[in-house]
Amino acid sequence: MVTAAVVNVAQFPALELAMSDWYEAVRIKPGHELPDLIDEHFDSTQARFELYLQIRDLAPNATVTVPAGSEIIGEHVLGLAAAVEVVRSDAPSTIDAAVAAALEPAVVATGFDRDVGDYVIALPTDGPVDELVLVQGPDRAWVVEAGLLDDARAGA
Amino acid sequence: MTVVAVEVLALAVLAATGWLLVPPDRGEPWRLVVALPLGIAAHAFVELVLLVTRLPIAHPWVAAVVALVLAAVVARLRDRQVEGAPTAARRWWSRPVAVAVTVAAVAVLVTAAVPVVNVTSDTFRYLTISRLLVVDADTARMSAFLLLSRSLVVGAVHGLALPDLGYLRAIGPLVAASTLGALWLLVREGLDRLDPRTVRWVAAAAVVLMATNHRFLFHAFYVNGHLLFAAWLLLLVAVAWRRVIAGDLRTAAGDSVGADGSGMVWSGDALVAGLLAVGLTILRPEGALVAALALTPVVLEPIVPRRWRQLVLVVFGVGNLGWHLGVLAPLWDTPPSSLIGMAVLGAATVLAAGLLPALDRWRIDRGRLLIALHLLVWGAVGIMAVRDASILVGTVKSIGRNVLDQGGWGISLLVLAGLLAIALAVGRVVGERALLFPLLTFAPVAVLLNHARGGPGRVGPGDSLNRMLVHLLPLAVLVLALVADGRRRRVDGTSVAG
Repeated sequence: MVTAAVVNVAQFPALELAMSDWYEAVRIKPGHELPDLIDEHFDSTQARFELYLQIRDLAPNATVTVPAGSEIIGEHVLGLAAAVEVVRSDAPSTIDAAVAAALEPAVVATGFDRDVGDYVIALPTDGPVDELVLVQGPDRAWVVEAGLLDDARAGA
Repeated sequence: MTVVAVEVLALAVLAATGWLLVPPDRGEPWRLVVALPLGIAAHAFVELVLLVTRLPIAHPWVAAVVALVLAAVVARLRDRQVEGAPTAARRWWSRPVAVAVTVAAVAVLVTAAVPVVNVTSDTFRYLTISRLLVVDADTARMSAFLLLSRSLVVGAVHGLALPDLGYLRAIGPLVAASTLGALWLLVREGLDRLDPRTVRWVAAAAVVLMATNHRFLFHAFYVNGHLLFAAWLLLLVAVAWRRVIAGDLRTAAGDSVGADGSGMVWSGDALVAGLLAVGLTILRPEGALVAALALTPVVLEPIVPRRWRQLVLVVFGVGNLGWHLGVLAPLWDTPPSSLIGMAVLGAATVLAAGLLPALDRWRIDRGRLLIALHLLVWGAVGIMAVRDASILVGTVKSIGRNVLDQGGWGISLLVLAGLLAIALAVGRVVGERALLFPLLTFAPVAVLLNHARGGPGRVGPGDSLNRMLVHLLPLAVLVLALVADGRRRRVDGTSVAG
């Protein structure tokens, strides 16, 4: 155990250095300036959830059309429509924290699109998507149309 | 200043709740070490119950006060049952108390003064749940998907902070300190047959091994639930392990306590185990599965009083069902497979409590049964691999890369795994089934989790499975330290040299 502890200590600076890129990508520093960010996230979450409820009530079999980069693409839409993020895989360092988090609970598929180029699609485990239209952004591509979960299941 | 005062009050209420729930005969150091993690578990349990009622009263502070009052009632009832035993309120000040209060004060002051907290995008999802609980004290306006993916505990406990700050800064470091303290005490307890000086050195080495791990330190300051999960898993396995050993010793001594628990003084340990199991269930999506693995060895052990096992199973099962059927009810229109699986597990847990008498009559070696169960899980992996080999291959690749160089572990896990393999090849641990089953079964379960998620996971420190590896770290270090004993006592009470 002493040997293992010595190994831990010896490699610590190297690990901290190696992790710096990841820290830059996902860690907000310093950790104490959070209230505004929490408010922002809370408001965004609530807004998306309200939209989710409206879509669910008004259009159970509709197709959601989402402007490129829209905030609608978030986890509150996971079960209803397509929780889809499309990210250029040739620039993984540009994946921001929100996208990285969205990828976490998802099925990840890679592919090539004529307009988008190489891409990574993250789909929710239980959210089949029957239609996707992709739009390319400066460092990210977004789905602008996706079939609703109910619609997809009805067709299955 | 107000922010700090509220944080101190929150920590004090949680710790007092946990402290009251641990039976005094466990000793003051143990009660203090587990006070905070257990208090968080009790708080989460009450929060769960309040949410199931659908009444808009599930504010985190309401849950905290209710949990504290209930813990005081439980302590009072428990202490009355044990004539002559030390009561919960007998000693309010002692050296261990002074140490615990000092550690807590230092943690609060340091985290208030120095920006040492790690925050990622995941953190904001948890803290959004906090805010929703504070604003509405209900889940009616909360996405069930958010709760399904992020669970309840982290959001609930940080809801105790003032909205001006939004989270409790010191809770991560204090949970880390609790984990190290629990490891220290468990190693000393497990090696009590060795000379005290040797035991102290082994325990110190175990604590240093944990405390120097890069990922452990990261999670100690990360606003997330991984280290709490690790602490709860360690404590749950420890309670089960103690029960197996106690049953072993009673059997060896010809104790008259019946296998059905008749004549047994009711022990608060069962409630503690149940709360920890429910806590794991509502801390992470896979929590119920991990809790079930932790409890399987002790549940199958006939030498452990049956009522104890039944109480644990009922609390665990009902809590599981309350979460997956009650709070997550909106998802049952089109339920995700994970939701169905966890609800079935909850129902099976309650059913198992009723079937224990029949199970106890089953004359089969429990060690072989656990091996068979372990192989069964690997069999499930095989079946899933036949259905979709790419996920298995991808999972092995991603885990391999994460453990080797991309997950932030360095070579720590390789060294630890190598030492464990060598140690277990040459030595044994008393009551090892309770320790090894959850540890060794994690590997196939991890693969199954990725199959359930439908993907192989990612390469990098942020991968969910990579982060979950820290859940096993304290348990693995505990096993490694306990092998220093080098002896094995069989379940029938016979000690053998190892």
